[in-house]
Amino acid sequence: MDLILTPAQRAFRREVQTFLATHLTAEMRQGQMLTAGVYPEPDVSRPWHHALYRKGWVAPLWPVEYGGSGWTTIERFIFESECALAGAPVVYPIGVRLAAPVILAFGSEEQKRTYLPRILSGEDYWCQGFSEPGAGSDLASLQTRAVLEGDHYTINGSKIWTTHAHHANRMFALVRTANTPRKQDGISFIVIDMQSPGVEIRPIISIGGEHDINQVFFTDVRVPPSGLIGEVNAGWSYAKYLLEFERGTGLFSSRLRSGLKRIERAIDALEAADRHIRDNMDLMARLADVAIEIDVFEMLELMTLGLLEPGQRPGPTSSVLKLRASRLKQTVGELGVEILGPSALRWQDHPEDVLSVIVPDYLNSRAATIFGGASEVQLGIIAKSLAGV
Amino acid sequence: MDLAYSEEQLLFRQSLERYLGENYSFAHRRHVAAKLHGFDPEVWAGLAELGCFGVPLTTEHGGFDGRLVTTGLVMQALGRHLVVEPVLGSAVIAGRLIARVAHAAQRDELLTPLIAGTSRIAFAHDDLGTKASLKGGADGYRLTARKTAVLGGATADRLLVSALNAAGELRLAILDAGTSGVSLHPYQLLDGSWAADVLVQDVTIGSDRILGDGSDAGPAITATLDDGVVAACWEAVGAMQAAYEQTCAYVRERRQFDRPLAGFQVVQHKVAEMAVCCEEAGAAALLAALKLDSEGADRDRAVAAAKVRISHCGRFVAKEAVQLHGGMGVSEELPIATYFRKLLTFELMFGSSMEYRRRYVKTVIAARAHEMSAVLPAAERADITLPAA
Ligand SMILES: Cc1cc2nc3c(=O)[nH]c(=O)nc-3n(C[C@H](O)[C@H](O)[C@H](O)COP(=O)(O)OP(=O)(O)OC[C@H]3O[C@@H](n4cnc5c(N)ncnc54)[C@H](O)[C@@H]3O)c2cc1C
Repeated sequence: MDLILTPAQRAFRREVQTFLATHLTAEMRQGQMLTAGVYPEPDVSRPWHHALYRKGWVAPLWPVEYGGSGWTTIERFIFESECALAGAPVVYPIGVRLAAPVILAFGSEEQKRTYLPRILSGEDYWCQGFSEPGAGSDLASLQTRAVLEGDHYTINGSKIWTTHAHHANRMFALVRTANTPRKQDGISFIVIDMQSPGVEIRPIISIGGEHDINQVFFTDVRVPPSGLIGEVNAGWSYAKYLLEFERGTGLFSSRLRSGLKRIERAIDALEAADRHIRDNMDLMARLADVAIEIDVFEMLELMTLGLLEPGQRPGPTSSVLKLRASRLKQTVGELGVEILGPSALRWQDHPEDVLSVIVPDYLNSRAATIFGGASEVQLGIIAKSLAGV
Repeated sequence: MDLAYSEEQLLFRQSLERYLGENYSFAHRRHVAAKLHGFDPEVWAGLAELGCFGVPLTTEHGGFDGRLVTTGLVMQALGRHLVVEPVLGSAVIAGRLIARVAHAAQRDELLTPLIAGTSRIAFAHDDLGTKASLKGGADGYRLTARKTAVLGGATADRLLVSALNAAGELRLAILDAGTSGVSLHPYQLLDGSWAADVLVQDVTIGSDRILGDGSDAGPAITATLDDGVVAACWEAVGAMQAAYEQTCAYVRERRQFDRPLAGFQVVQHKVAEMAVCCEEAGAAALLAALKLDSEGADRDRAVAAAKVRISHCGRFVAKEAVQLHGGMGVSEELPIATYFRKLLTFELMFGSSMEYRRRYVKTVIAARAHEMSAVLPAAERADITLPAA
């Protein structure tokens, strides 16, 4: 066992660094730096997505024949680390990392041909329609109905907390197609065109003051049967498959470290304004604590995912990673706020610089322990599947 | 010792609670914060009529009470309802500072309209080390100052500006906000209330505009800022209690997995911990107010303990309130996100916990006062000694 990179891995790393140096623009880096939420706005992420697309690097987890990059997990780890440290925009993952694995595993050949190339090229922008007002942690109790009427499904109901629905042209959704004794047995996985008549979007403002999430209403929205992925009423198992990917394949550590790097830039800005942060041993000790947590989390992530083949399911340890990463995201944010001190009190009264983003980003990070399964739910999964109690 | 609120205090609290319940809905609050620079004249008049602005002042100074405990009851109610109007800055801080420093004629002139609600005074003190200066002599002065984070500065009609005179002593000058040479940059704080940066450029003022008899205002400023911290502590306690109560109601009502969230033991324990935090924070606020209301008390100890402990408890309550509300907690759909920002604002305002810990070390621990009871007055005579162990 060792952490030494092979010559091929070293060469790959050089290649990534070179690519970043030539294709990552100052605007892209600035856009990511000013992102106070989970995903940057499409005008920030799209140009970077296109650059990666032209290089064949958009979809590390897909099979090569569909345009995947064919990397091992170690290579993906190297790639993600280099991108995050360079300040590259986060690649919007709802299509690439959530929709695509389900389509690849359970979709028809025709669906793969229809959807995958447009996800890869960035032409389609997806959103995830799982949660509903009455169905959050208890997702299986969802009520949005799809009824087969002649040659199409008719959809009625509402989804909530839908990230970037206002930017998306497609949604994958869980819908109720049958009333079964076990709620999970009557759910299907369906693709909805967001431009369809009857789709309405209401913005929701987040705790950090941003518009990222929405409520989406469906009134007699028509979807052709070709939008149904896999078997009817088998959607629950596809959703569980997807959630494992959502929780466990993100490689969060490098993004956590870039959060730390952003705080370092904030410290520089404060020092330049004569606020002496680096002399403050209390703050420096806190900074060290957080950096140490990230150091160890990096190894935890590598250790957990490093031996997986691409496409292999991460299993219940994905909950361990999700839990740790979400809390660490909040810890990093909290540290940023403490370092800002009184400057953190000024709400939206900073110029567009690193100081303007630390507080909204921290506030929004409170959602990290809620979405993708709340911490309490993850702990339940860990207790059951890992601890066996 | 008397540990019960008086009949009068309880009645007063009740009428204020009733007034805010009827006149200060969350929707209204949102409007005032976003559109009115955090100031609704009708509410201000309503609070004045109830006597809120006279509470922090003794009858000798034209007020109604003068005790911090009673002031605390006002602040607690304002915190519960997330009131954004600048009561703390104007009635508590500016009011008590004027009472401490001004001579009788100035007191009448300034405090009578302040209590009646027809004048709002903001205390402009923090100058980030730029050192406001007051030059001149008996027939007039010239004032230059650059002040930041002036609470209520956005809507005040008068400014109370601290500045150093030639002898290096602090003086307080009173200025009309509209005086030429005075410019304001208003901005919103993290909790939705409004503050301002104030620039005073070589403004000429008469000697009667300097408060008091010409002695150093430094000690009065320090004492009054401590009063302000304690008042803010009570406000935070009110916000915590409301967030806690709303969370209790929410987890009883919100159903997931065919039962109320309150049916999960994990959830029960979380709200129980929140309850403990609220009780503890209430005790910390009470201790500080009672101590500051008594002669010769150790102010450092009372203030530092309250700020540190209430910050800690407030942070816990705020986080769990958000967490237990799920998506509802991290969006503007409910007041919970605002309580979170309010409690974070409290933590950051008037210096962080780290600074108060240092203050506690420097004054309390250095004098080994922490070996003595925090609540009992110092023993009157030390002539009773125990046998050596
Ligand atoms: C910023 C953000 C973005 C999101 N984006 C999307 C998206 O794009 N698409 C989508 O479909 N959904 C999205 N979600 C929804 C997210 O997945 C849900 O918020 C989450 O599943 C929790 O559901 P809920 O909000 O209804 O909370 P609830 O289920 O009502 O739970 C509230 C709280 O109760 C507690 N709790 C719940 N169940 C248990 C239990 N069994 N044991 C102990 N405690 C429990 C937890 O503390 C939880 O946080 C997003 C949410 C947020 C906040």
